[in-house]
Amino acid sequence: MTTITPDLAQPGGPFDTPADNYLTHTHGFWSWALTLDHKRIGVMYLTATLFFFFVAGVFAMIIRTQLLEPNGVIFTTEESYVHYNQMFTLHGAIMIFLVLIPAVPAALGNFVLPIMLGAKDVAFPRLNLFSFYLYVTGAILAILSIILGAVDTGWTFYTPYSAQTDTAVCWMVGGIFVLGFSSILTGMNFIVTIHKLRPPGMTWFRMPLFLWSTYATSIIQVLATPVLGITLLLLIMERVLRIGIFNSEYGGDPVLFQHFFWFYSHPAVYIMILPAMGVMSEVVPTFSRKHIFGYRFVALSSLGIAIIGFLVWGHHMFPNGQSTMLATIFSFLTMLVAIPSAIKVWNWLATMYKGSLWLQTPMCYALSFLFNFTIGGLTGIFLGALSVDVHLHDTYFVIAHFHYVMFGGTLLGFMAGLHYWWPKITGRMYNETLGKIACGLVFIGFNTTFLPQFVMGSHGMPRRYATYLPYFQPYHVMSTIGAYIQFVGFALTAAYLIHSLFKGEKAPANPWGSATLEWACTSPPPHDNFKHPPHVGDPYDHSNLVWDDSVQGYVRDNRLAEPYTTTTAIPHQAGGHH
Amino acid sequence: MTDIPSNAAMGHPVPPPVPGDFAPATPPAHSNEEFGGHPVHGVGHIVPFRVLATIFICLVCLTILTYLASLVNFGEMNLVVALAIAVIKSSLVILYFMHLRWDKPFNSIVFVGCLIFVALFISLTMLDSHQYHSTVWNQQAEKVKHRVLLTAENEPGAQAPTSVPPANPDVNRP
Amino acid sequence: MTTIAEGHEEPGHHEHPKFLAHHFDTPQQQFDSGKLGIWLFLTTEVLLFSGLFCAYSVYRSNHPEVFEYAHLYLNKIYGGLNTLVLIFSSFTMAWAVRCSQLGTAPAVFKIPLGKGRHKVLFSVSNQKLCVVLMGITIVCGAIFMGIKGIEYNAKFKEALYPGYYYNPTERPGEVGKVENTNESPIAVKPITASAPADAPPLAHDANGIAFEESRVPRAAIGPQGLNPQWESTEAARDAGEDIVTGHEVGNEPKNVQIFFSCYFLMTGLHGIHVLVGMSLIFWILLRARKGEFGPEYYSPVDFVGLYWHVVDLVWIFLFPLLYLIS
Repeated sequence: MTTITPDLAQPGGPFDTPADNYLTHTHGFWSWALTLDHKRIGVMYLTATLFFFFVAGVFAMIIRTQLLEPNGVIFTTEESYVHYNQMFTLHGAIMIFLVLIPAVPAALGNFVLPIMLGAKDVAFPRLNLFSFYLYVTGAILAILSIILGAVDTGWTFYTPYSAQTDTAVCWMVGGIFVLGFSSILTGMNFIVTIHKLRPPGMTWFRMPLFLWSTYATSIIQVLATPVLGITLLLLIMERVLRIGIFNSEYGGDPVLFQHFFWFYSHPAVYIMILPAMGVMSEVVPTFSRKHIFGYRFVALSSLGIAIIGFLVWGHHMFPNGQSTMLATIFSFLTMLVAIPSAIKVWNWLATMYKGSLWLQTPMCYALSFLFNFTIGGLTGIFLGALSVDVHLHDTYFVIAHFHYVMFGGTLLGFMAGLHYWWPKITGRMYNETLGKIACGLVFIGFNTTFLPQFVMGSHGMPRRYATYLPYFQPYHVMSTIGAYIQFVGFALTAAYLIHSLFKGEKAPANPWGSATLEWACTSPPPHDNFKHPPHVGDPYDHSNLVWDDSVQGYVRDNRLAEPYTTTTAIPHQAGGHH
Repeated sequence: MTDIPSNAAMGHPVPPPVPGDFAPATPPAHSNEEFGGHPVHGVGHIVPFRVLATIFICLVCLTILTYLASLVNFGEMNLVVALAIAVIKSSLVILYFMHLRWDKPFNSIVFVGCLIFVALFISLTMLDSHQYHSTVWNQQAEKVKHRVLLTAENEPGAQAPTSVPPANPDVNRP
Repeated sequence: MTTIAEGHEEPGHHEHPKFLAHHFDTPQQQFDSGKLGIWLFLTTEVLLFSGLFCAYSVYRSNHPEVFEYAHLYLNKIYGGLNTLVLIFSSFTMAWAVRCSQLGTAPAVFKIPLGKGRHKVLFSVSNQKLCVVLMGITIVCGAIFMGIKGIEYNAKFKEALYPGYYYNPTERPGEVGKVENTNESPIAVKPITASAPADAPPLAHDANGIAFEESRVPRAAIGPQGLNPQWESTEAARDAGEDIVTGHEVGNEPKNVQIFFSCYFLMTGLHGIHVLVGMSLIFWILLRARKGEFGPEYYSPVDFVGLYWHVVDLVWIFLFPLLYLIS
């Protein structure tokens, strides 16, 4: 009975030459532009999403500045209010379709997923590259729409207004149509990769939880996104050919558009949050030095969220003329989503309980996630309750709830993942002190921004207005100050991350002492990920990882732990009989 | 060294399997050994020609049947009959032409799962639209009436009222 | 006892065939991955169409009279012919996949003479037959698109456009032509004395003024309330009469333009898929001519075939839903 392949026990993993890694393997522009390496594609996605995060952030700053005074600061005349509409539309559309949806699955997921799985690449590398270029095409179309007449419909593109306004709806919608296909192809690729490329020994319940949540995400991407595609196609047809499917002027039904749109867009919020939850499930056990609590529950709750998430879209339409019966059904199903989400949150808490918490930057972001996501989730129950929603619908309460989940949840989860895997991606350590300061700024700024919005919303401040009653001014001012604090926090993050690229210390193979497979290869990983098929063990067993001062990182010491072995060779998933 | 003859394509009925040197019986579903002891080292299941031809003939017959059915009035059942035939036809295509019958079970799960989601999407939306339409219609009816009043006021040929459409009071009735 | 790591070394002694990508261990693994991938893709295709089917269902269930009336514009013969053409092309495609699986082995065409005897007509390499069959499939696709083109052309000539532009010159079951006016489509024509004698009672507004709406396009008005014709036919149905709505009275129901929106969107999106499928098959045909496919590697033929069958599947539903409404 042999146990562990010996080279894994060596410091720095199985590769003696970290000089030859995926970044240095080939050189030149085309080696990146035509690469089939999932790691490079992931890095390109990461760069693109971070760029659009900056763009959307600028729009957010404009929105918040405008709202410093009741009659507006930037857009002060009635004719210019349309520009305010354009600002919040662009902020919403870019954040959702260009940042949040690809941020964790396409950027971090592309980089990490195959390595975590122990595979050489995703199942369809060419499709992966194609999907990235679809993303780029969609992004270019979206940017063109800003130049050609920024959209002012809100990111939801509700008809009939979106069929009538003379802004560049077709371009933006066309861009999102293309982005949707990029998202579908990524999802397909991940599902097949997880199904067919698991190395021997990587059974379903030995997969790191990030893979489970990415898998659940991919299911939603494949099943929901095509409906968005046809919806947007119909909207384009509505504008070009005036087909009258969604436009009441020509005999159509605007509420049908809302059904179509939310059939995708509600599951889409789970496309955004689930991968961030996966990051949480990696970061929390690592920095608590404890095995994840309730592995199977966390794993299966991802699937639960994915499936129930499909059945709740009607809660966006409670006051929009939906039938009472259906609204009641949707309200009930909405409450059900709370169960798998709460399972996750409790399991993370239980993981930390009596753990030995190590408050590095990723963990700080993870704790912020827990705090904010809980608030976001609980206020979601208000909105899911049928009668309460009639009062709160289309107010700042919804804005605050959405941001607590999408920003406080997804984005902080993304930040946790970015910091967690940054050493693996770049091979450099960032400045830990600055990281913690920035995380604190973001956390404080975020809560200053959005807590007052709950109050405003419950007092009746409607969303999407360029002006407001003077009564709301103190809340708005507070909110804007918070937004500026966040901006400073993110600027600081950008500064130290860029600095680390050039001046950061070299990262060890395993700086955090994580047990998942990506930490078994060098930082940055080599071109082919694994020279030998990796040893697959319990992804949350940290007991045999010890700090080694000579490499400034963790190494595996086999004497410390119960050796992990399988008594039977597990035949390969696909080619079992060869 | 034989392939199953393609008589169906040439207008002949499909012959029954004939034992003998020239035409071995249709190979069992999972065997690739059609070539006289030289196994075909393939990666997928090969559908016998006989099966393909039979399915094709069935599909043609069902198409004619669905046309004939449309000439008969089954009342409420018209749509059900047409869709039932379509479902049979598509199942034949999926199971045999698309080899799902011999495929990995997970592929079937994927496809059936997708159909379940399609059903959910369509049924929940229809469930709703039947009810909210009364709301939408009433509002639009007001608009239409308003327009009519504007244009019809000075129309001399207007007829006397014979019936006034009832307003729909139970908006959003369950 | 084997460790996992050792067990995995095993593929090393396989030779890595040219078609096998570096990150797969065996052709079987590559084939299965591709197969799962294409099924997932087909899933997305089905869901893409499901949006249109959903819109169709919502409008048909709410405006059955529109669908019963407007489908008479469509030519059942063309529709049926197209169904047969597509089914035949599906058959040839499935056969082509079989041929590609058999590779260079000969396909023998025989006529049974009874008592186990056969007359061999001719025999041809399966690889060549595969190319021919894919060619036939493409031709069938072209015939389908041709018939579709004839149908579209007829609709355009009669100005049976979707939505706003719907403005037909002639209607089924109606004597004489309707004037094709260029006035604002929203305009409402008050009733004049020329209303047919057997016309149903007219709707009236709150002030008791009778009105009739212009043909196109107008807001969705449902069965209850404002549609006079619907009320009368409903009443007749309740009374047990066999009523065909719409054209018999020489007066078409409201919102017929919605039917043509559905018709053009569904057949249009389907047509685009046929064109894409034809191009894909053509690409595979060129590769098959070079003899790239055999028993171990035929997945491109198989996957393109699966795509083509889904195109066929959609049409199997479109035909009864659009052409055979009774």
